[in-house]
Amino acid sequence: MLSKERFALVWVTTLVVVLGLYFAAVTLTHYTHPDLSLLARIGMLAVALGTLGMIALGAWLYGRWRDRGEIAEDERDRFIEQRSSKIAYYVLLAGIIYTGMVMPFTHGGWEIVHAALFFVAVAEIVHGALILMGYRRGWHA
Amino acid sequence: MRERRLANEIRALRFHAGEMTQEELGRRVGVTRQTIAALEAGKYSPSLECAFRIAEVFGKPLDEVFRWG
Repeated sequence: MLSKERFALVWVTTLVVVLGLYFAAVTLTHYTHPDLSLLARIGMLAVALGTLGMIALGAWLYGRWRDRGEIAEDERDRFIEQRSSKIAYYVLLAGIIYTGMVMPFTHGGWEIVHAALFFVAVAEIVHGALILMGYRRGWHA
Repeated sequence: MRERRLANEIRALRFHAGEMTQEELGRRVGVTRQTIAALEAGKYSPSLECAFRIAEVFGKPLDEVFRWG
């Protein structure tokens, strides 16, 4: 398995697990502790983003170590990356239009923060999933 | 209309070139071993430049390495 493919698999799994837990915790505390302090909310978000960052960095460094001395990237990697990024960009664009141009009139505060984080995560999951599909199911122009 | 795919003879040509490894072919063409494996499995259609490079390695014209069918 290529390091890029391995990284995409780790990244998609991490996003689903970590942000799934985060949004589950946010939903739970919304009902059990509706008066949760700002510091605690920021702390929860920091733990989730910190975990994502550490796992992403670890997976990337491991991939670099495994592939040392090999050709780093070729045309197939670039084609797969370009197509995945293009589709994920439109997903992100739709999410940002919704959170930035619609939600301010109907929601506020943490709901907007969480919606933005959710759409970023969805775009990243789409990106990673398309990379995985590109490597596993093939890519044809 | 029937879907047509780019097929190739890379596996056979590697065999006739003294069982050249995918890694060796990839190194000479400038792509990874995984890309050569994907080409042989029909999971990837190479760029024209890559196709010419592969044909050049085997000393064959392009249409003896790749076919459209």
